[in-house]
Amino acid sequence: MKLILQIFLIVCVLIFLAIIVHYLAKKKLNLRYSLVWLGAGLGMLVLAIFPQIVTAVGNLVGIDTPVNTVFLFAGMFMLLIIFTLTIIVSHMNNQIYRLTQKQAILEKRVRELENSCEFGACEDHKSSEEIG
Amino acid sequence: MQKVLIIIPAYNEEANIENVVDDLIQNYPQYDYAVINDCSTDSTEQILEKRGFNYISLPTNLGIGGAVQSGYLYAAENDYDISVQLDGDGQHDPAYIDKLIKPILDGEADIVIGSRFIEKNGFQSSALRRAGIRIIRGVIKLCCGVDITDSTSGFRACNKEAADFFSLNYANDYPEPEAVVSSALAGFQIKEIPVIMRERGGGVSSININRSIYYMIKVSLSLLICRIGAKKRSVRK
Repeated sequence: MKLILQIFLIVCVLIFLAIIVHYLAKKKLNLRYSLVWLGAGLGMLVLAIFPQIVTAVGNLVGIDTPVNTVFLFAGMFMLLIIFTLTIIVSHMNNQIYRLTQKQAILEKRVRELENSCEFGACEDHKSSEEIG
Repeated sequence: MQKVLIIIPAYNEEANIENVVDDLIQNYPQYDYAVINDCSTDSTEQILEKRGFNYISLPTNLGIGGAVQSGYLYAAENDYDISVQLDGDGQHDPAYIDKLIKPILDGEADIVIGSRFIEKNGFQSSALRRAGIRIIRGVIKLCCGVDITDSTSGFRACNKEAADFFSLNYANDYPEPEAVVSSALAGFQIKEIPVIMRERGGGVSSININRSIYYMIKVSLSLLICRIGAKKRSVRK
C-alpha cells in the first residue's frame, strides 16, 4: 500500500473518531449506541496502520485482492449496524406504545377529575378518587 | 356480580359509534364500557366528548392492536373481572355478550371468541377472505393445536388473567390471530361460540380486501415466528 493512501486513511479514521467523541461529549449520542461505532473506528485505525492484516485475512478466506476483503467486511459491518438500529427502533416502538397508552388512560382520568371539579366535588377527595 | 368491561376500539367511526354506544347504554346497562379512540381524524372524538361517553383517546394512531391493548391495560388497572372486545363499527351484536362471557363465568374457558363460521349465518365476508381465514385456521392449528374457525374475529371476551396477559403482550401487526396463538401457548383455554355478524354500517373497513393474500402470508409468517418465540416465554402456572 502506498504511504500516501495509508496516511489519508489514518487521517480519515481519526476525523471519524473525533466526530464520535465530540458528539459523545456534547451528549448528543448515547454511549451504549456509540460503542459499536467507537469499536469500528478503532478497528479501522488498526487496519490503516497495519494493512498487512487485511491481506492475511483475505488469504485466509480466499480473497485475492485485499481491497475486496475491505469491501466485503465493510458491507457485513454495515448490515450489522443497520440490523442493530432496527432492533433499537423496535424497542423504542414498544416503549412509545406503552407511553401512549398510559398517557391516554391518565388523560381520561384528568379529564374526569376536571369535570367533577366543575360540579364542585373537588373538596371531597374521596369522591374524586372513586371516579379515578 | 362480576365487573364486565366492554372495550370498543374505534378509528374514524363517526357514522357508527353513537349507535353502538347508545345501544349498550340503553340495553346493557349492567356492563361498563370504554371506547378507545385510536386518534381518529374525523369527528369521532367530538362525538364521544359531546355525548359524555366513557372514552380513552390515544394521542397517536397505534392501530387496532395498540388500541385494544389500551383497553386491556385500562381493564387491568381498574380490576375488571371480564373484558369484552366489541368493534366500534356496529359489526358485532351486543346481544351475544352474555353468551360470550358465559363460558368464562362457568370456568370452561379463559378466552371466548365469537365466530361467524360455526353456524355460517349472517355476514360471511368475501370468498377470498374466507379462504384466507381457513388457511390461517390451519396455521394456528399447526402452531398451537387449537382449532379456531374465525381467528380474525374481533368479538371476544376474556377473564382477568387473560386481560392482564394481553395488557402486556398484544401484537400490533396482526393482533387477532396472533393473540390466539400467543395466549394458547401461554396456557389459556380458548373456546369459540357461534355468533351472527352484521355487515359494517357506514365508513370504510380498516382492512382492504384486495390485500388479503398479502395479509395472509404475513399473518402466517408472524404466527410461525410467534410459535418459535413462545418457547422462551414463561408459561402460565
